[in-house]
Order: sequence, then structure tokens, then C-alpha cells
Amino acid sequence: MAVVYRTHVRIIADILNTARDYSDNGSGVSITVLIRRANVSYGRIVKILGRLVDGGLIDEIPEDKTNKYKISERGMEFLQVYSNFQGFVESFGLKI
Amino acid sequence: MNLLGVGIAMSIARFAYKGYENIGSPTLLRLTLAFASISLGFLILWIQSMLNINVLAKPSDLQSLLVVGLGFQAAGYFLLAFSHSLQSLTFKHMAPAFAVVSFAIAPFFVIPGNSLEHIIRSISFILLVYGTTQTMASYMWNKNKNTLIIASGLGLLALGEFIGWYNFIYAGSMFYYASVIIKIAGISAIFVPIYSFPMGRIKVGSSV
Repeated sequence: MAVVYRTHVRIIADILNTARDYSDNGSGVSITVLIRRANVSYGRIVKILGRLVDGGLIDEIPEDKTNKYKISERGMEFLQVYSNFQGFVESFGLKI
Repeated sequence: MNLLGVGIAMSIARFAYKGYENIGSPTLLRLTLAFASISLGFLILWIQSMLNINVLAKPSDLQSLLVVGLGFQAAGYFLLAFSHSLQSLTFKHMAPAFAVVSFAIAPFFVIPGNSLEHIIRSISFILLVYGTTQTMASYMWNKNKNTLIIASGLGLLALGEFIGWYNFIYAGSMFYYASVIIKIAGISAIFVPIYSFPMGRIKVGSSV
């Protein structure tokens, strides 16, 4: 069976989707949930989260022991745009 | 007719660039470059036909312009085929891409060097057939109506290149004009599903 690799953009979308879908009462998700649900290694997710926070797509909420991550308004817009262009690229039989 | 091709291909390139600008996907960048190149090819072919009608250039210059225009279009078709070949990274899955490249360079060894136009047309034809079969294969998986329409469009472009190449045998016939009309029909078919996306209403900001 062929191995299907995710693109970098797809991984970002998976992280944002997880942050949106698994946020407890809007309080954000822990990095453990993001690692498990988005299926990304710790080393990689730390780098990506840093870029997403800098880009304003995810808000970092400091807590006692660990930080929590919550999707921002801009992150929601990104997912909407991603969804549109995913349809566009898939029309060509390609992956975004 | 070629001018219509310029507009349609440029609209698709603009939309793909908007996507690249917002989400930074390399696939969208390749689609942008592919359709920009195809559009530029149509523009050069339009300039060539205008110069031809008004007898403003030497036949050798017109032939050179034709080759350059077809070359830009072939580069665009190559980027489309290349995007499909990149979907699978193992050598086993790259084999069809290597086969396409082998077929694509074959004409350089069997056709005399003075018929560059026909060599480029044959390369374009092979690349488009590869793109069509890959898009059709994707349709078998996703059953997306838009994918089927785009595969048909690529197929029409391939047919257009084939008929244009046929002009090599029956020079000065209507085959050239039939080729242009079929190619415009092909690029229009590609534009039909694209039109359903919200063109011009997307803005997030810089890519991540």
C-alpha cells in the first residue's frame, strides 16, 4: 500500500482544525491534545506552533504548568480560505 | 481566439496565486506558474497570428514566434504533469513520471532539428495525455464532477496539440485553426469548475 505524506500546509490545517474542534469551552487545547489529534511529533509541533502564534493564527494562553492554544479569528479565516483552495486543487486531482 | 485563451488562463493563474499568497501551498504556486506560462504562450501565438495577418514580419520570425509561444505552453503543461508526479514520492510511484520524460525527449532523436514546432507539440501532447490520465485516475477515487470536467479539458488540449501536429503532414490546411479552436475549448472546460469558487472575495493576509 502506498504511503501518503501530508504536506506542510495540510499539517497546519490539521493543527488549526484540532485547536478549533477540541477546545474545552473555548479555553483552548493543550499541546498533548494537538500532538495526538493532529498526529505531529513534539519537536515539529513546537516549531509550527511558534510560527502560528507569531502569524496570529493561534493564541497562546499561559496557564500554571503548561500553555494552552486557542484558534484566533484569523486562524478561522485561514481554515475557510484553505477549504476553498483545497476544493480548487482537488479539482485538478492534486493535493494542497 | 488565442486572446480568449490568454484571458481564461490568466484568470486561473490569478486565482491560484491568490491561494498561494494566502496559504503558501507549493501546489498552488506550481498551478500559478503553469497557467501563467500557458497564458503567455497564448499571448505570443496571438501576436504571431496578428503579424501574420497584417504581413508585418518575415516568415522566419513568425516561425520563431510560433515556436516560442508553443514552448511557453509546453512549459505550463510540464508543470501540471510535474505536480501529478510529485504526489507520490517513492521511486516505484515516480516510474510513470520517468516514462513520460523518456517519451517526451524521444522526438529529439527521431525528428530533424528544423521542425522544432512539431517536437514541442509532440512533447505537449505526451505531457497532456499524462495529466489527463492522472486526473482521470483521481476522478476514479474522489468521484468529483469538477475533476472529470478538468480531465476533459486537458484531454481537449491534448487533442488540440495532436491536430496541430497533424498540420505537419498536411501543411497549410485547416488543421492549425481547428487546433486553436479545440485548445480554447479545452482551456474553457478547465475554467468552468474554477468559476464556481469565490474568485476575488478571498483575503486573509500573508501566508504562514
